[in-house]
Amino acid sequence: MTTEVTTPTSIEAADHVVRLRSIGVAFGGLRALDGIDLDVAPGERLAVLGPNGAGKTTLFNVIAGDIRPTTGSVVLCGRDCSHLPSHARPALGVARTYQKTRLFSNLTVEDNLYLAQTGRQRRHLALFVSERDRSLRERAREVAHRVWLGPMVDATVDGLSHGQRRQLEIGMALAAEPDIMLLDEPASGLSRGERERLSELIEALDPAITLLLIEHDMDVALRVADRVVVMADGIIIARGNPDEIRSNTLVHEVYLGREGGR
Amino acid sequence: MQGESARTLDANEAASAASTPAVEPWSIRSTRTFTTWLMIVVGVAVALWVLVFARGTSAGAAIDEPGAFLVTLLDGLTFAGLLFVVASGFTLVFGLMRTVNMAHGSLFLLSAYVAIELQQSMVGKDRNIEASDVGILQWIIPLLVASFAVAVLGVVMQQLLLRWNQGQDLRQALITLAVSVILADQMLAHFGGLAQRMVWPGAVVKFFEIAGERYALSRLFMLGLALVVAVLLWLWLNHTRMGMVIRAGVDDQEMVRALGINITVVFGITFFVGAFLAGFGGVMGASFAGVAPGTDGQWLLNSLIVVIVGGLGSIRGAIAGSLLYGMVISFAPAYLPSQYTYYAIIFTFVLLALVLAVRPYGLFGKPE
Repeated sequence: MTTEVTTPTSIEAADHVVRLRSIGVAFGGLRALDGIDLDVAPGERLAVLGPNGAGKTTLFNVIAGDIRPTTGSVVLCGRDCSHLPSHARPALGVARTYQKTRLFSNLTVEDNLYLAQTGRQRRHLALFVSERDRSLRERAREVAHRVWLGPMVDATVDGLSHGQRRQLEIGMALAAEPDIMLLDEPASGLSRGERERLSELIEALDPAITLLLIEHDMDVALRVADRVVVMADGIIIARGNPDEIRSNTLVHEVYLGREGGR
Repeated sequence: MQGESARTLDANEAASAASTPAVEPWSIRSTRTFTTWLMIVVGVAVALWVLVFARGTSAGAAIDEPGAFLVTLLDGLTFAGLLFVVASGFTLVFGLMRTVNMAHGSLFLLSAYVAIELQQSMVGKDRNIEASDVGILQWIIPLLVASFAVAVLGVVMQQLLLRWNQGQDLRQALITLAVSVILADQMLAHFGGLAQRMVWPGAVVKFFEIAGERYALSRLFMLGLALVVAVLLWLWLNHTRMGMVIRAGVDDQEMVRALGINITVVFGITFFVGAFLAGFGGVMGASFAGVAPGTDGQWLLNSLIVVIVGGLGSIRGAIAGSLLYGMVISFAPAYLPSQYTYYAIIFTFVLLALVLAVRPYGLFGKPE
């Protein structure tokens, strides 16, 4: 059923920023992921679709290192990371957002963006580095402008709307200057207008950044992505460009059919 | 296709609408006004009692005996300083790691014993040390050495026993409880069962006149040390990068890790500081009131009361909790009718009940 032409195995690993080989994750008896192979080229925008429980977030957790795969290997930017802990991965250029917004609600927008950069700094735990570090502060403000939160830099996250929090999350991922960005349902819970803005924001991201996106909202996903994989029950059931996915009958049956029939 | 996706959108919208809270129901608002009024009435009643009606208490009404009132106030304030030093360490560890460190009181007591032994060997006397024998260094050096020693012990405990159980609150509480029992027994065996005392340096053992009453300078010295600790903590947490990481970790430690920050190291450092503060408070407490077996449990309880009143995990809450608890401890026995002074301890629980009735998570606490 796979619509993608299989890529020849002779391609160098460096041609792919993400290379997953026969990834399996088992939670007790449940196989959340079962033999996933996936290559993502630099600068590619890949949308991961699938019904609830298909294993999309688990796949992200494996790439970000939050879950260790039971089987298979994870190669990021040509380096085997299968056993690298999650806190070491931002240094390789991996940044992610979560399904539920995870921000530091007692800190200001600027402080959040400041912290997002420190993970890639060598001396991020140095005791006597002042938090008033000039260049990081400036960059935090610049990123805030880029995700349209310029006027809100000094507001604490508590005071932001849900849509603004989603914008800030993308800013957090951006601030780390990632090569690979994993966005987990960035549009969930947003109004139609907010979703429109968010799609614009994602489309405006630096084309050099490789983007993996989980999204339930087909409008956002198919607009932003240039390649789509569809998952169900822990396996990839279809790959292709947005148009191919739109017309794929199996996708309709498994994903849209079930969603629409609720 | 379009129709399908539109339906998904609507479902999303409905979900988000359901999650945003509606306008507060009237009953909640009226309850809140009621509790506010209750607090005001209680506050005014207590103030009036202390000011005018408290004749026949051991201190006497404040308008008749301003000196006694001032002394009671200073007693409360200085004791609050000691409470803050100990409880801030407790709340710091809890705030970041959700670890209820039941061995906090044991670290307090152990530090006190270590400092006392060190002071004795520095002064060169085993007993009957006079304040005049003690130079300022013979107090400060034992203070720092003992605090450092228990801080290291705290980190060892965290690394060996707690690190593997991160996120399992109950298990961590039980482990630290076990450590406190073991430490209590070992300290009894090694330091004996008699009450011991650290001796203030001669320079602070003086008395001065205040509104016709004599007051001990050492108590103000204690308050000063507490203020220094508070300022250093504030600078550390609010004006260094690591402080910001800790504040962020209090909000969401998983997210801190996802940003690429090695939070395990931050945990270790925070535990070091928390244990250091327990030790620092221990030496202050040993100079202020002496220590004996059982002091550990008493100070664990003190820390718990402060952080429950102030809100677990909040430094501002620790300040507020220490002040309130310190004031209750000094005012209750002084301003109860003389024949009821014995029951003053009940007011600690009145304080707890009142605060928890109005703010179930403590004054500065937040729901999980």
